[in-house]
Amino acid sequence: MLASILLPEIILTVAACVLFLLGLSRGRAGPRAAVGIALVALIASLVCVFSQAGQISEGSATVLADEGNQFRISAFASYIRMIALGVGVLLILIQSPTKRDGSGNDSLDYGRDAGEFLGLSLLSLAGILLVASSNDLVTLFLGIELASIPTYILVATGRPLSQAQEASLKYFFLGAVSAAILLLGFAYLYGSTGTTRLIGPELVEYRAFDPATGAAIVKERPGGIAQMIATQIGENQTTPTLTGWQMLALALVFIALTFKLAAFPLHSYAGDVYEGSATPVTAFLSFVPKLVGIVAIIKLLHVFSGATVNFNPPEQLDRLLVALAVVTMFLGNVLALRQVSVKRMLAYSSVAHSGYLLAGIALFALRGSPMGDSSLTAVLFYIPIYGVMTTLALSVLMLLPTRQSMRVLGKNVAPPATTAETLEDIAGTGRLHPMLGLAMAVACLSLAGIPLTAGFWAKYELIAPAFTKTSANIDTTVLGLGVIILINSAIGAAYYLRVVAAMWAQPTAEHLPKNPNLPVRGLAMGIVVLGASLIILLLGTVSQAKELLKIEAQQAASGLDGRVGSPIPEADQEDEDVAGLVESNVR
Amino acid sequence: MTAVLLAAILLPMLSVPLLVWAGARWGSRAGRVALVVPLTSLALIGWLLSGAEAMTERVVTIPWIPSLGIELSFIVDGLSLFFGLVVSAMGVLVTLYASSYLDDHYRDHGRFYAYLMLFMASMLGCVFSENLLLLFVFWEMTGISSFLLIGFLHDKQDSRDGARMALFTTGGAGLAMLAGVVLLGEVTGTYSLVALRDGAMTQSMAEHGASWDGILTVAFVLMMIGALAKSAQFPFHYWLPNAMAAPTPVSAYLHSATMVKLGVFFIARIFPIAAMLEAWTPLLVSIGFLTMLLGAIFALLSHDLKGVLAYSTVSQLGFLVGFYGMSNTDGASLDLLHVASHVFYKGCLFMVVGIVDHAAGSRDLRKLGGLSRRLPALTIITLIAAASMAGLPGTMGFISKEYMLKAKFDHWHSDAWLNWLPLTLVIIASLVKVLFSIRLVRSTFFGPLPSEIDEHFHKPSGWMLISPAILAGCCLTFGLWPDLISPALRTLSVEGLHLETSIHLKIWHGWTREFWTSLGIMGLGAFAWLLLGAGRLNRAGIPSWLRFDQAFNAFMNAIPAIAKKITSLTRADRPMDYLPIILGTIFVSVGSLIVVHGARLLELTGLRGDWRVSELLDPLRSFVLLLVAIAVLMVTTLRRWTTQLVALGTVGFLLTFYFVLFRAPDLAMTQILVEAATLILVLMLLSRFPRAAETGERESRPAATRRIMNIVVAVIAGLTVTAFTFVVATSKHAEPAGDFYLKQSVPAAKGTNAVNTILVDFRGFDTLMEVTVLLIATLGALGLLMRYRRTEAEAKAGPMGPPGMGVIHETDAERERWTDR
Repeated sequence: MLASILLPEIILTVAACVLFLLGLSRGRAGPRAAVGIALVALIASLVCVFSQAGQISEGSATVLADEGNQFRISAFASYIRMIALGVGVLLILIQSPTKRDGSGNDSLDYGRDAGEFLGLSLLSLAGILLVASSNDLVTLFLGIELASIPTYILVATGRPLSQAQEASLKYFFLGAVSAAILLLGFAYLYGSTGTTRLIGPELVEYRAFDPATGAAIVKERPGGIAQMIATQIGENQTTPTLTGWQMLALALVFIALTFKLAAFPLHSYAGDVYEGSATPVTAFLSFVPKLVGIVAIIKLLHVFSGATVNFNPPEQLDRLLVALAVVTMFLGNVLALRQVSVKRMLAYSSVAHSGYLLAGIALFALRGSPMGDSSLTAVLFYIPIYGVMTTLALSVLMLLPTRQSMRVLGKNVAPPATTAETLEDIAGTGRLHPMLGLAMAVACLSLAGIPLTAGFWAKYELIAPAFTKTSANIDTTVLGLGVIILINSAIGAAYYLRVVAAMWAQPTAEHLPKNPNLPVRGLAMGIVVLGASLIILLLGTVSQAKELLKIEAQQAASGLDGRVGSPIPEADQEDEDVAGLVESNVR
Repeated sequence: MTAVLLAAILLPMLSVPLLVWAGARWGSRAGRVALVVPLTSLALIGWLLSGAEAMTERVVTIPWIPSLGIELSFIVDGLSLFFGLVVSAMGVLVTLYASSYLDDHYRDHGRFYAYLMLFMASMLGCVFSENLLLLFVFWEMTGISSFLLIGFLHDKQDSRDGARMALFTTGGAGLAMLAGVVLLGEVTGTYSLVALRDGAMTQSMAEHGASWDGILTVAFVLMMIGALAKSAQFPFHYWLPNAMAAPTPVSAYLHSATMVKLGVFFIARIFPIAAMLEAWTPLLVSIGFLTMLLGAIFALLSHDLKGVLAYSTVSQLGFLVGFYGMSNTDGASLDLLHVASHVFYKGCLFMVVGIVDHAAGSRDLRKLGGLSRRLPALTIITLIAAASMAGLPGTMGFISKEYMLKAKFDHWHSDAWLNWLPLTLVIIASLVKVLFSIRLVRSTFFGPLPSEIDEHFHKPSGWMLISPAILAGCCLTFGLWPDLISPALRTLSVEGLHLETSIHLKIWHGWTREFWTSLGIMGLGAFAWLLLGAGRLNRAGIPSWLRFDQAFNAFMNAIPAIAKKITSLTRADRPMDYLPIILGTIFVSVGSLIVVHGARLLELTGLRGDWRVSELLDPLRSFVLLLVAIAVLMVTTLRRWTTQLVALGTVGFLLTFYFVLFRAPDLAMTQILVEAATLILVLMLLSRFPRAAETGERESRPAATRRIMNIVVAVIAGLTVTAFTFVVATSKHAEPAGDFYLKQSVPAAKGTNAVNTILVDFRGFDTLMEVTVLLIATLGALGLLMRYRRTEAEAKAGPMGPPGMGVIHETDAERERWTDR
């Protein structure tokens, strides 16, 4: 049943529609109710995802799929949906209004449109869920765009500053470029494989017409791209030989997806957009699109290695991935090194983290290892941790004392929806607000990958496979990539520690009150900061907690291939209406 | 014994918070309290030594992280006990000295003693470690505590620079050492030094044959990089003189007696394991003796008292490294004597320098002089220590040098260069050593007393004299009665490292070769001093091309500069700037695919044969194409948006001719409608834009290189898209979809226009949905357009940005503030 499979997405979308309608009412309670509705929707969606995950792990079926096989819920999809919704809760919480009139909080100003704003956030989250469950190029593209388009609006409406509008326009233009490249790639993918289904049955029959006579005949062809690619695996081969068009298409698709990841070559918007957006939106941007990009890349790589048990994409793709990963890591880290604005620094550091994720995928591809292998596990393990770390860092920024004034159009004005952003702003604030200082230290140390934090284990799991011998001969590329990740982590530590140093070791800026009372900024923020800090420390220090997440990630990684025993239900034989269905997946 | 050993190591570490507290409470008097700690450690290690009559080696193992197979494994043998004694005894003397040296002019006494004890604990841990990984952990801890100590006076720039340089150099080389240790451990399967010595090493070499020699050599060289950097050997020698920014007690402790000896200690520690490698002798001998000579010459050319001592330490460490390199694989002898001798006189001299600095307010050899009249006791102490440094008879330095020369003369190496090179270098270096020893004493204590020094002079506390006096006493005692030290050396000899067990040191051996050589060195040294004189040396200096520290600093400063450069090069102010990056990446990846798969791509596309060039050359079509090309050029060259748009519209309208020529009038009609509607819509939108946006935001013409790059990018993009279109249009598809619709249009949909039947029959629902979406979008657009009506005043003000778009014309300065962070 399509509806039951997509229930989590449907819940989010319906809730979004309700929120849009709520936006029309002008009552005082509106914004608070909006947050409540959004949270309830997220939790309900999460419950659905868990029950589906239960069906997958307990039942005989390893995937849930609808009749048309357009959506497939594998262990992988379940995991992605779980982490998207889990981090989504944090991301929605930091959007909750604390001002009396419900127009936002200290770093967010959505005016009277709280419902609209939260609704868009929910739609974007629904997009990730759709990407995770999609099994068709069309639904995949729809999911990617559903996740992206609301973010363009979030950036623009997050705060009434010209930089936010500038950021939104830049983001939108580049997004359009990337969508165009992505569609071009998808078109070539379809053209070179003859189907848009990712994983289908071995063979499907379809009705065609004999071009000579015009008579209806029944033909067979592979049921999905994966099956199509599998036929290209020659004898005594583990790697499919991709045709030139398929290569070209994949190259275009990967380059387009780097936009979602904020990786080279489409990374350049990161600085402006992250800085220009309201801080909660920055947190949203640094997690949601990234997850979308990574999931899409993993899915396509999987399909284009023939969806076989041994994950082994063609060599040229490996090279492309390695090149993108290496350039992204270095670029992100070097650019972050000299930034004065913490948000901009975090933007470039998110570029670097995309590089680490890409490097993990490249390692996975290079090593040609089986499903559920440590590299893919590491990537899946890394994403939620990264989401929590970066959300924590930005939440602390939101809570720090507001700038007293800023210069806009050459005049000193009280800033609308602008909290601490530069290193100067946060100087010495750690001593004024020790709890916030500690939380920021936790976030930064974790981002830098210092032991006893979750970030350490994320990096450790990522790097360790590069130095694990799988075969007798040592692959220098694998080893080299491992070393490059190490070097980049070292560079990264420099700028993360600078934030900690600024908060604790530098003298307090003059404009800050010497003995401030932290303004009450809502229960939600407290939950986020405390919760995220605890998660990071718990994962970092308690090995059982870390193992728990790792096992989940491992199951997701090994459940990527849902073909084994997948129940693809017999489609109803429809009436002999020739005209409508030219390609129906009828077994 | 386990408890005693652990107590000796952990006690200083545990005392750290107590000392911080003591410092806060008692200020400068915290030093007296701190003295208890090294005294206890010394006593405990002394107890360990006394318990070892026949010196057998004992290993203590405590599980630490069992899951990772790491355990706290300590070894108690001659080598570790010797260094343990040196560390704790010097700890006592230095703490005693520091408690007077760090008077109330200094701040944070507690912090100082805490760092000092942390350092001592790391040192003790390092020398007693049996596991290579454990040794490495303590090794790095010494590096970190030394960083804290060098930078103790952190409000001074040179303190911070020196600390940073020391940390980067030794820490960076430490990483090489870690790599070497891990490599060795992975190859041999154990990190235990005892297991490695007792056969794990030889066994793995035997098992894997000659091919593993290379890996072991790499591991060895990597470990040596770490050790040599710690001991400030060439080319890492530059950090030690800069570390002299530390308070003098730190210099006396870390940079003469203990930490810099760690490299030497490590070499001695792995001697039984690695001395059989072929790389051992050439590497250590060449670097060691080269450093010895360079260090000695630099010491002579320095003018700062601490600089002289620092370089002479570098020189002496070079000698020790070379000494181990020279020893044959069976073992070395009397190495501990040389180490002890250096500890005594160098520690003493550093403390003397500290007192001189304190008393006279200067450490510059060119400014000092005549202090013997004011500080007679100190002069005597210095004379003894300097004599020992120069190797005059009656001091321990003499004994050390005699035995070293004796060893050299007695054991000829099979390679000729390994005999003559070290011998020559040792003789030259000893000569230079005599020279700078004389200079040090002469320039500081004798000659006229400069008036500035005289004015500044204040008498140092007598407490400060105790420590150097004890050390000088040791130099003299063991120099006059050397046999006093031989039982200790016998007890402390280590299996696999030391050759002789029956050591009896004597001061007089008769008229031997080494005695004549010594005499010659002394005589020549004195002669050279007379020849050169103090004045000429005062004018000399270290040549700048050998000042590696300056190169290092330049390198450190270059890193942020490079990052800033890259940031400014890749900043993303305008989407215009990053379009070339995106397109470039696509071109490169697509281009490389075509290069790699060119044949396969072409084969797959299978150019259709029925493609006729003559169709293209039809005069009418060519003319239309020419017009289109001209219009495109106009789009790119015209400057105003409106005219550009009109030119773009022309391109669209001209295309309709093309459609007509291909006999597709319905397409042509559609094209005309779409073109007209688009043009009108865009022009309407533009009319609502502010004037600046209409004429283009920036009027300035881009630079020529920029324009050329734009043209290149545009041309490549155009060619790529053309090639794509061309190849797709001409390639065969197995089952073209068009055939089906053409064939089925009449029988299935009862219509003769295939386009119409596709829209309303075959894809009828798609069309319905599309229309619905279009309608909704139109309604939305209408709502937005109707929402805003301008007031009369606004209408008079001319075109302006639509509401909410926030079109604000910032000044350039404002723009940069936001974009160029």
